[in-house]
This record gives sequence, C-alpha cells and structure tokens, in this order.
Amino acid sequence: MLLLQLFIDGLAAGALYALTAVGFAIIYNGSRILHLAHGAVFAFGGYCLYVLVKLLGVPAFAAVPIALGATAAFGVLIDVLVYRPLRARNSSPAAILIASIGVLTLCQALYALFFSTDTLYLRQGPLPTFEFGDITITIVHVLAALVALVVFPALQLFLTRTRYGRAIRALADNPRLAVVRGVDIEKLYVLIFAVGSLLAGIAVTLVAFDLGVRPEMGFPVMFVSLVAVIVGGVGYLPGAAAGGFLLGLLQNLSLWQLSGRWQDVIVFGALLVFLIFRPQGLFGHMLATRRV
Amino acid sequence: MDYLAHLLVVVLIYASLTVSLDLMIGHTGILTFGHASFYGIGAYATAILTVYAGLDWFSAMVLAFVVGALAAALVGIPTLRLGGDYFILALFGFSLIVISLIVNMEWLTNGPFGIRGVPRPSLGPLVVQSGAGILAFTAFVVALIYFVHWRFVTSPMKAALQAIRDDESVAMALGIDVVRTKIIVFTLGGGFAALSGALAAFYFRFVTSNSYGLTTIILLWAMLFVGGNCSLAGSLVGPAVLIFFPEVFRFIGGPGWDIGNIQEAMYGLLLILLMLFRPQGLVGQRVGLRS
Amino acid sequence: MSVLLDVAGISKRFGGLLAVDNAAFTVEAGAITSLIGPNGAGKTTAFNMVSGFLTPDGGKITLRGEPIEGLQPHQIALRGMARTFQDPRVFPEMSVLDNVIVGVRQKGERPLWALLRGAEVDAQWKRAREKAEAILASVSLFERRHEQASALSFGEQRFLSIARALVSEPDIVLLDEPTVGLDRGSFGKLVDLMQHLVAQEKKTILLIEHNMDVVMSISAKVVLMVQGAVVASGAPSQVRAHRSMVEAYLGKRHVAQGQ
Repeated sequence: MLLLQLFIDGLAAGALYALTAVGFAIIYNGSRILHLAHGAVFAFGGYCLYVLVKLLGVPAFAAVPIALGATAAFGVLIDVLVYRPLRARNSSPAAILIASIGVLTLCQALYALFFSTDTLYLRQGPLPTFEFGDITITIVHVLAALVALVVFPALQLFLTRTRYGRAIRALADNPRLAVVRGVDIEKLYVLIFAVGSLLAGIAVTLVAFDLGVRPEMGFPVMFVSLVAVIVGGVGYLPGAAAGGFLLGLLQNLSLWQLSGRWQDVIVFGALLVFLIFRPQGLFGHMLATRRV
Repeated sequence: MDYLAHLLVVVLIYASLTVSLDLMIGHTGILTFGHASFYGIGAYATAILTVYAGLDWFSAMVLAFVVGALAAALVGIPTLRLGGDYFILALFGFSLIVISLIVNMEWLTNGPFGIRGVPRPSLGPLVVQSGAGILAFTAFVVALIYFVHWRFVTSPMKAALQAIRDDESVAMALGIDVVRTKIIVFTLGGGFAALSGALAAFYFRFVTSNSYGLTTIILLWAMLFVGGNCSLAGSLVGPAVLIFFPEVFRFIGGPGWDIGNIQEAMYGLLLILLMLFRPQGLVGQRVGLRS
Repeated sequence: MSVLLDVAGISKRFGGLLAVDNAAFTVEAGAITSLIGPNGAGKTTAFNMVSGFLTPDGGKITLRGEPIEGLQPHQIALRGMARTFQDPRVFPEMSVLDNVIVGVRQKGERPLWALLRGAEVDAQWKRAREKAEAILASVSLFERRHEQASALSFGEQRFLSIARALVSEPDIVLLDEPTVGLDRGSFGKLVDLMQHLVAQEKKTILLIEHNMDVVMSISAKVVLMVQGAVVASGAPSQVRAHRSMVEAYLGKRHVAQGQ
C-alpha cells in the first residue's frame, strides 16, 4: 500500500503548500506585489517557534499562537517598512520586486548569522505515530488535515461574510474601487499582509516540529507555492489551494517511480506545461495584466 | 600583485555578466532571475566539452554560447509571451531548479563534486598560464562583449527596447513585435551569460554548482543597481564597487565572522536601500523605477 | 469615396457585460470619421478591437479589404494604422526626438544589424531622424527635441504622442479623445492639424471625441454609439437630429456626461 501512504503524505505536503500559496495569493491579488519575501516570513515563523519552544521552554500549545501572531506582525512590518515607502515614492512594480528580493536575502542571511546554517530541531525523538497496517500516520498528517479542514473554511467565511474580508476581495478585483468606497487602503494592506503571513505561520507550524528549521527553509516551499498559484489560476484563491494540494500529491506520488531528487524538476515541469498550454490555470483565471 | 590580478579577473567576469543582464533588465524591462543559471550552464558546458569531450577551448566557448542561448530560448519562448508577473515567477522557479538539475544529473555534471581540470586557453603551443596572461585573455573577451553591447545601445535598438520597457502597449501600437523582441533579447542574454561562464571555467579551471544559484543572481542584481541600470558605465562600476569594497572588510572583523552571510545581508539591505533612495544607482540614469 | 476600414458586426463581452454589441460602421478614406457617444458606450473597446488590442468575440474588421480582426496590434500597425491613447503615454525617459524616431520601424533595431551596421542601416536611421524632426517642427516641438519627454506639459505631450503616431506615415490614424485636457490655443492647433492631415496629406482619421463643436465642424461622418451598439451613422447633420432623439430617450445627463 505504498501508493496509499504516498497519497496521504502528498495530502499533508499539499496542505503545507496550499496554506503558503493562498497566503501569497491573498497578498498578490490585493496588492499586485510579488511578495517573494513571503518565504522569509515563513522561515521567521519557524525560528519563532524554535526560540519559544527550544530556547525559552514555552510549551507548544502556548508557543504556537505567539509565533503565529509574531509571524503575522513580521509580514506587516515588511509592508510598512519597505513596500509602503516605495508606494509613497511611486516606485514601479520592478522596484518593489527588487526590494522584496532584498528583504528575502537579508532575512535569510540574518537567520544564518543568528542561528547558524545548520538545521535546528525543536524536539528530540520521533513524532507520535499511528499505524494502520502498512500505513503510518504521524501527528503532522493529522494536524495538516485538521488545519486544512478548519483554516480554509474559516478563511472563506472571513472573505465572504466580514466587512474587511469583502473589502479585501473588492481590492483584488479593482484597486481603485476600494478607495472610492471610503475604505482606508493602507489599513487594507496591513490586513492583507497580516492574513497572508498568518497563513504562512500556520504552514510552518506543520513542518517545524517535524523537520526543524533552517535559513533556506522558505525556498522550496515558496517555489511549489508559486507554481500552485499559477496552476490554480492567478487571482483565484481556491485555485491556489487546489494547486497546492495537487502539487503536494504530484511530488509524493512521483516517489512511487522516481527518486526524490527529481521532485523539484517535476514541479517545474508542471509549471512549464501550464504556462505553455493553460496559463489561465485549472479553473480559468488570469489576473488582468495591465493591458492597453 | 597576484591577488589584485585575481580580483580584476573576477570583476571583469561579473562586469560581463552585468552588462548582458542590463540589456535585459535595464533596457528592455525583462526582470529575469535566470542570469546566474545561464552563467552556470555556460560554465558547465565549457567544462564538460573540454574535460569530457576533449574539445578545444575555442570550440567549447563558442558552443557554450550556443547552449546558453538555446536554453534561454527554451525557457523564454513559453514564458515571455505571458504577462510580466508570470515570467518573473517562472524564472524564479527556474533559478531554483537549475541547481537541482546540475546536482542530480551526475552522469553529466559529476554532481556536487564538480568538474576539475578545465584547460586554459591556448594559441597553438602557447598556453595562457600566468596571472597576467589569463587576465589579459579575460579582459579581451570581456572587451568584446562590451563592444557588442555598446553597438546595441548606440543604435536604434536602444530606443526600441526602451519603448518596450516603458510602455509595451504603445510599443505594439508603433509596430514593434514586443514578444519576439523580448525573446531575442533574452536569448542573447542567455548566450552572453553562458560566455561569461566559459570565462569563469577557464579562469578557475573548476566548476561546481555552488556559484549559480540565488546567491549569485542577487549579487548580480545588486551589482546592476549599485552601478546604475541602463548604463554601460554602471555595469562596470557596480561589480568594481561590490568586489573591491568588501575586500576592505576582509581585514576587519574577527574570527568566526561568517563573511559569506554578512555579505549576503549587505546585498539584501543594499537592494532595499537602493530602491528606496537611489534607484538609479551610482552612475545610471533615473530609469523607470519610479513611475 | 472608398471605404478604408470596414467594421462589420463586432461584439465584445467582458464577463457579464456586453461592451460592444454587433457594432458596424465604415470609415471612408481621406476623411475624418468621428465616433461619439456617452461614456461606457463601447467606443474605446471598439478602438481596441480595430487596432488589435482586443479580439472581437464575433464579426469582421477589414482594412483595405483585408481582414485584420484577430491580428496582433503590431501587425496591424505595420499595415498602416496608427493610434493614440487616452493619455499621451510618451516615453518619459527618452528625449522628445527619440520618442518620435522610435515610431519608425527600421533595420537597425535588430541585434545583427545593430552590431554590423552598414550603409543602409545608417541611412534608414538618418531618414528616420529627418522625418521626426520635420514632424516635430509641424507641431512646434522642434526646439524642445532634445529635452526629456517628461519635461513637457500635458498638451505638449499630447502633440508629441500624435507626432509619434504620424511619423510612420500611416494611412489611417485612430485618435482617442485627443482634445481632452488641452488649453484653448493647443485645442485650436490640434483641430487645424487634423484638418491639415486630411486635406493636404490625404490621411484618414477615426476620432473618438466628446467635444460636439469639433465633431460637427470637422467630421465628414459621425458614428453614434450607445451602450455598445451603433445607433446612427452618417453626415453630422443627420446624426445630430438623431442625437436629439437619443438625448430625449436617455435623458440629457447622459449627453452632458459626454462633454
């Protein structure tokens, strides 16, 4: 039943990618900023958990909410310190992208300087697991499932039922409209970055306890998340989530036949396939690029 | 004196990379993450062709250019016809997996161990051995690369590329085939990056996957924007500043200081500060980074 | 007069909105045709379809008898159609002169020719510069040709964008609300320029315009669009009569919004 095990692993990985992808997509849809530093926010959450759990001895159930809050705040901080001044200066999207890469690089280097380049583990020993015949389910699988079942519906409710959630969607549809409706745009940006970064924080919680933290941990996740956003259709949040799950499955199911070192290439291959044949993604969404 | 020669060779190689990067980013507005990858492809192609296939250095260098250009065309053709953001994301992904590919295709690249023994260029029996010799060779090839780019930007090509950079729709309305032009420029960029890779292979005589990932592309972007994009002078100034300046720090800082990560942090911070306060860099024009 | 541009039953839908509904009109050669109508009537969408920036959902567009619907904008431009946009959209970091020169397609733009040059490349570039200077002189921007385009006033940028469109010597020019934002003096100059283009240089102009005085005085033909459909088409006097009906039907505010 190797295939079933891989399938379950794929779903767990998919939950991770889906969370990060949706977080990135919320930020991109609302601000049109390619917030590549999202990967650094993801890693920030991991290091928060490490500091709280390993260095300060805070129990996990308390550490997680604190880390989530800190991660959301960190994302907002990046917007306030870097993107907002750039917007105020009428900087082009190119300049903002370059600054985002600068943030990503700076953060990663700082993590390495403060915590070394080694992988740091939050806990000793293997995770609690449940065995069902050939299938091994770890607490990570369970958490991933719980998280996915809770977070995504909650997010959906937030975006459709609350005033701020609807404002975010309005902003994504038409950046100018939200200003006319009297909603303070800078407050919306804060909200967008908070929600997006919070999702990244939730995502890192899934892996930090199991795999530890290291400075470049954001990169592989960001890579798959970006592909997920395109596969799902840029501008469509459920698509980003679906893309995340699909790619998680693809990566893990590929292990059935191929060695693990080809996982990234397979994902990139999926990206190329979609870009060539179906750039609007599975569900037919392309964010209107500034044409004409 | 030898160490200075070494630094000069390094600066020249980076300058050649920056000038070809500038044609894409600074002139045409193609925000590519791929440059270090094509650099690596060129370095590896040179190493593989000389060490494994026994080709002479000149043919290997020419073929490296071709391989780099082909790779760029393969990546560019599907991605450049979509909007800018798709291209950026795709190339970001590309830059991440090229390393993976290099490391995993061991039968070709010797995996993480790299390839040693790349020959030095030679003219008949005369082999470039000395520091001065390889410096002269590198300088000569880099000068050629600069010459080509100088011809480009002192021709009607410059305005056509800038039109694409500044306003693609208007460029189209003027009859410019934007997608095709971008693909051509990107292909050339890949070829020239690969050529720089050949130079690196000849100089270091050793290629390994370390030097072609995100760290290098960040460094290249930092060099481009410090010097000033859309500027031939800038593409020389940037690498000079970023190579020579940290040398000062080599003598400061105690043991255990992780110079690599400090430099990384510096480049990241530099990019942020440049975009905020001086997007035109040291000697560039005020180009396109403020609307 | 022969028909240069034939728009036959084009439509465009954006999601739930039918922006252009089976619109049809012809543009005769050597004359000014004006496209008028309230905001949101689909005029710019029609422009975008004619110039290739949008593909019609249905219908045909022919230029000199050849179909152009579905062609890329640059392909249509190379067939002798030039257009301007609602904003001048000059290239801000280029000089005024370079802004116009870049309107001329030439061999020297291609890498191989840029590298090798040659007599023909140099000659083309020289001719392009001469044409650009001549056009700039005709719109009184010659003295400022070496300044950065961003330094020009709005009105001057408007003329620059028109000069840029004209330098390739197109047969038909699409002008999208060219009079908006112009002061009285520039306004007059623009009207004179348009009439000169048609009378002396035998150009064809398709104009989106809200200023009814201009429309009525210089157009040979007026096409009225309302809510995506062509409601009337003919000589200015004919359409004016029809417009009164529309005005009464939809209310004066719709027309006032168009001013």
